Amino acid sequence: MAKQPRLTHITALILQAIDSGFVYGFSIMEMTGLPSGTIYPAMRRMEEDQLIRSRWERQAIADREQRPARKYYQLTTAGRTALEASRKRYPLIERLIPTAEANS
Amino acid sequence: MGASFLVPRRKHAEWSQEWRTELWYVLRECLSKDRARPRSIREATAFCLGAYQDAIWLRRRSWQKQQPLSRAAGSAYVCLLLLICALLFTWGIAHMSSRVAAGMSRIQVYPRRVSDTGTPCDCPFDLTVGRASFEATRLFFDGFSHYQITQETVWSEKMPTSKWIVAQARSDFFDVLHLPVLFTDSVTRVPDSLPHVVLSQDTWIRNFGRKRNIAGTKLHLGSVDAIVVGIISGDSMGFPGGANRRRPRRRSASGCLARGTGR
Repeated sequence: MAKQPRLTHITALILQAIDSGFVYGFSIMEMTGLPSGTIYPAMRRMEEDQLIRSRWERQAIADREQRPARKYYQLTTAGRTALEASRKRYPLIERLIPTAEANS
Repeated sequence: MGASFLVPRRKHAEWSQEWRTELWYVLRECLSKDRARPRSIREATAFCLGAYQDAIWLRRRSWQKQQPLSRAAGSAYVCLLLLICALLFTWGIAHMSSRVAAGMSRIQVYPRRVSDTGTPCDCPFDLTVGRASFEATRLFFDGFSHYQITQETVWSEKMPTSKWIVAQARSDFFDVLHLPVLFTDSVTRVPDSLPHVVLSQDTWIRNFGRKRNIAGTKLHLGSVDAIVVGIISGDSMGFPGGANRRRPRRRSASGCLARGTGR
């Protein structure tokens, strides 16, 4: 039996933030209001649990914009399922971090 | 960044790049907003401190992967297992101790006797065990309050000074071992205030020439005055340490009983 990832409030916030388009560490930190010492270890754990996956931005794009390459995060299929479950458990999350569709 | 030293080696490069990148964005954000206002500086500092927490998390995760058993550490199952192991260990020690005690008691009743034919000895008494064996045996039995062997200088009015091996024992020593003490007819006249001495047959013959009314004879055992209360027969002389005389403790706290065979 596969181990179920822990669906904490922090996990729910991060999943919601990524789904809302905040896809790199600093922006997720700003949006959720959580400290860096909480956000980054949580995202590493979620990546281990295969709720999210990360990829580095292509260096050429970063060079063109004269900034360092970012590490982007995106939801996996399991992450989307977990997000749906977390929205049921924490209904206010959608109001705290509204998705792009909701904004439009 | 000091926190990078905490990060496992294989993740070191990526972790450093990630945090440098993030810090670049944090600093840009702070500087663009408020031009290094104290609040912004505090935020940047707090962000950097988070790197330590992240590094520690990575290090702990690395240890957990290296030691799968550490996940179970502290669980009820492990505590129960440790308790069972401790109980088994204690039982083993207790079992071994009882066997050792049984072995010691056997030695006490049936001591090995070793002839001292090696080094010449100027002691005037018959050493039935070698000097080394005597020392070992004395140490061996010193732990028992009811049987303690010493060497004493002994003299009396009718006997020259000589050295005896004297075993101190409880007053019921001979009763416990069912050893008959001979010539105790006049023992009723023996004052109870003095330590009692039971002589071995050899000592009795050598030093007192088979004197039958030996009971009541006063002896000086080291610094203590004692009184002979009887003789133990020759065939029952297999006592530990080759003690030639027993000095049973007095029936009261200060008494003692002894037996001797001086040559």
